[in-house]
Amino acid sequence: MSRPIVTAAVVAATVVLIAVLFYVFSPSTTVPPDGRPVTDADRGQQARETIAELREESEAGRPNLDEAFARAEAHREAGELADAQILYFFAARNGHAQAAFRLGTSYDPLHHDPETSLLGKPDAFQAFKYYTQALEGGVTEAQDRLDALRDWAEREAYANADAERLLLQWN
Amino acid sequence: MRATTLARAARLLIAVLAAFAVTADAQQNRPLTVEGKRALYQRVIAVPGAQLLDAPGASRAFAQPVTPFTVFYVYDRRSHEGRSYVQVGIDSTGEIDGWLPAEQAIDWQQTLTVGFKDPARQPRVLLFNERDALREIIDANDAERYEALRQRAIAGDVAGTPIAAIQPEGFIDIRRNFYLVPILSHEDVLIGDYQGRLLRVASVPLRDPEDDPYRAGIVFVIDTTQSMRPYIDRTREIMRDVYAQIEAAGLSDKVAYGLVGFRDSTEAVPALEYEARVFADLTGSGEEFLNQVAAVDASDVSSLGFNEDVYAGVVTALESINWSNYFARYIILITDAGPRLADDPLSTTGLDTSELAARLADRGISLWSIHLKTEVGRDEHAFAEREYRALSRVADIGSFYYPIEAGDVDDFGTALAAMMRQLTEQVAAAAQGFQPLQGMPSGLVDDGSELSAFQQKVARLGYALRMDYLQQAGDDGAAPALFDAWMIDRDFSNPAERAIDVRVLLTRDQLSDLHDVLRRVVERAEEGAIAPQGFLDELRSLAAIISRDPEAVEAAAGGGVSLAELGYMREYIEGLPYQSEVMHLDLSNWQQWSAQQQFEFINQLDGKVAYYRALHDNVDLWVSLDGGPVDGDSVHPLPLEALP
Repeated sequence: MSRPIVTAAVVAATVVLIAVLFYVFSPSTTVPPDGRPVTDADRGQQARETIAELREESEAGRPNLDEAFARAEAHREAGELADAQILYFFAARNGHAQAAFRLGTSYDPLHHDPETSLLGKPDAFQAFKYYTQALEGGVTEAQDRLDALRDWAEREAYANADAERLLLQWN
Repeated sequence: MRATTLARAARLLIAVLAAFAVTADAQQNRPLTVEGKRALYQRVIAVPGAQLLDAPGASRAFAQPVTPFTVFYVYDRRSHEGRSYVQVGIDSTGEIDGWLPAEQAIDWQQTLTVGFKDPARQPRVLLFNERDALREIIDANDAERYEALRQRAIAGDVAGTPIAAIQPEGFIDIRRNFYLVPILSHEDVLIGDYQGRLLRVASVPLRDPEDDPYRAGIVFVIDTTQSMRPYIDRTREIMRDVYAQIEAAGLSDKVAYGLVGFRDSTEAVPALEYEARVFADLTGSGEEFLNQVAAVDASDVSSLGFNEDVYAGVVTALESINWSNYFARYIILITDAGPRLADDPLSTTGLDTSELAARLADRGISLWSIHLKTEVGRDEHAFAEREYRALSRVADIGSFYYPIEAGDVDDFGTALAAMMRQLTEQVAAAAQGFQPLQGMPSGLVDDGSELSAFQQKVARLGYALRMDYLQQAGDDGAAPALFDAWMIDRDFSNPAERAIDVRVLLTRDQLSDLHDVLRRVVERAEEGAIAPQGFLDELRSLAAIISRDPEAVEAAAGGGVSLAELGYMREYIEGLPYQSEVMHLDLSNWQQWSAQQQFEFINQLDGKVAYYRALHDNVDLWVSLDGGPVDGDSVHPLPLEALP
């Protein structure tokens, strides 16, 4: 076998090997909008493991929601927004009012901050939903937020279909 | 024991057979479904002049006229002596209304309709009478020509152009005052750089406002005896506001007001000066009318007894006012007294209530009675109420009688203001040239009060009048009652924005179905964000339970998976000029999605679930096409973008 052929074969084998290794060890086949591969951090892997643990440790089917909220706060402080979002969501879904208020704030068009919110843009209905839940759970501050949200929706209703539809929630 | 067992078995058998019979009956009477669909029923729209027959080929002598643009369900299609007929019913419950010749029923399978935007914020849309003429402008992206045609249409000079009509100048919110501009077909086009739609719609020609004889004449017939001073003053205050609204809306030439005062027999009490007198006819300006109201003096002299010659006032309004220029005619009778009937020696008209009511009906005048039940006349109230209810009755709608308990001046003012506001809205709606269907007037809340019940009747009356007017307008042969027109949903001047909304007419039952299915998907997706590994299996199981398309579920079992491919809500979105992003997302690699992507997916669906629920529960946003209370067959024009 001539040297160039061997060289070509080695190069080809190396390329195939790199491709196989990349495929096997690559964390994701999905590419988020910013073009980089999805990582475990993007998927909120830590939060999901936490939730699995909390569920396993739960008494009479009631996981420790204060613990979930505390962990969410810690992730938020650390800038681990996917983990924070999943844990806030888990806690709020099971009735934790403070977690609902945090989610409401993160979705609120008047308080949305890309630095602390996983979602790239606000979502007025989600803000309404979680503020309402927070208010029902005793977070009185949520009332002011709801009032401000309603003012916002009334201002925006003509040009913004989401705002227009949101107004129906108060009818 | 054995007898008991046999009896039980017999009862069970009867129950089973009865259930089977009911099921079979229900199946027989279901509307026909759209080809290839299992849950979408065939719908048609009646053209102006359509007539319902008892059977295919039946005599037109017994035909029932149909309100133009009534939306029917189709129950059967048959041919008879070379003509096609469609069996129709107003709702999906199996009740049949009759047969329409096929040419009087436009197929409207996708129930798409146009919602115009506010012309104050968006240039008015042109309706072309030829598709090709509009297509040429689109292909050449000839914004200048489109604009030139619009200016000619606004000026009313469309001779030699392909323009059939232009969007009305005023704005009516389709969600509050429902109208129909049905979309019969659609095709994709490029408007500038944007994907747009070329729509074929069914429309009625817009009338030239100068030639439009739709005007409303409203004559107040007011008791001007001693006790009425506060009510006359309040009427003047309210009418001043009404005039200001009418001027602001540019409707001054569409509605006119008159005033007739009445007292009682001058033979019995000469100091009363007159039995009835016209203070303002319908020809004067608003200013003149208000001045005349100010000039009306309540008598300082008491009449004889508590009954008065009320009908002298009504007859004067009937005979001394020229109603011929007014299509919609109203008399508003305001009094605290009972009427003198034919057998009363002091009656100057010699008319009983039934005779007077017949004369009103002959002239097409609707009389509304506002009965001030003051304390002093309490002994006559029951008699007066009975007579005024009969005088104010309109067939098929009810009595336009409104009592003011204890004669409270503020209650009187509130009621009169609400009635006048509603009449003004009806005139405004008629002036826009829209095809009205029965809807709740804007701002009207059905709170169960007597006033809201009265206003419901006013709404039905206004609707009946406008429909009658449209039918008459179509019968004169001057213009076709209905024609096809073509329009585009983006404007060359600002193609980035939609110039109109394409809306789909959904029934309340359909929306409820969409809501329930979507809610269950969201519940699973939420759990799928917390623990993603089981999500796909859950979604497949749910699809198998609720899908009306098990073949699609089976086909999707091995390959790519989206909500549409799994058969979720496919019937509602297939074939529409709308591409649902969320329904076509491939969910097969859900576990690999970032949390952000998963929550974006969930939030999109969750927002729609909440919107559907709020819409469903807001009864005043639903239109009952059969005129009854809101039920599962009531409709709402949902923007396409609000579909899943």
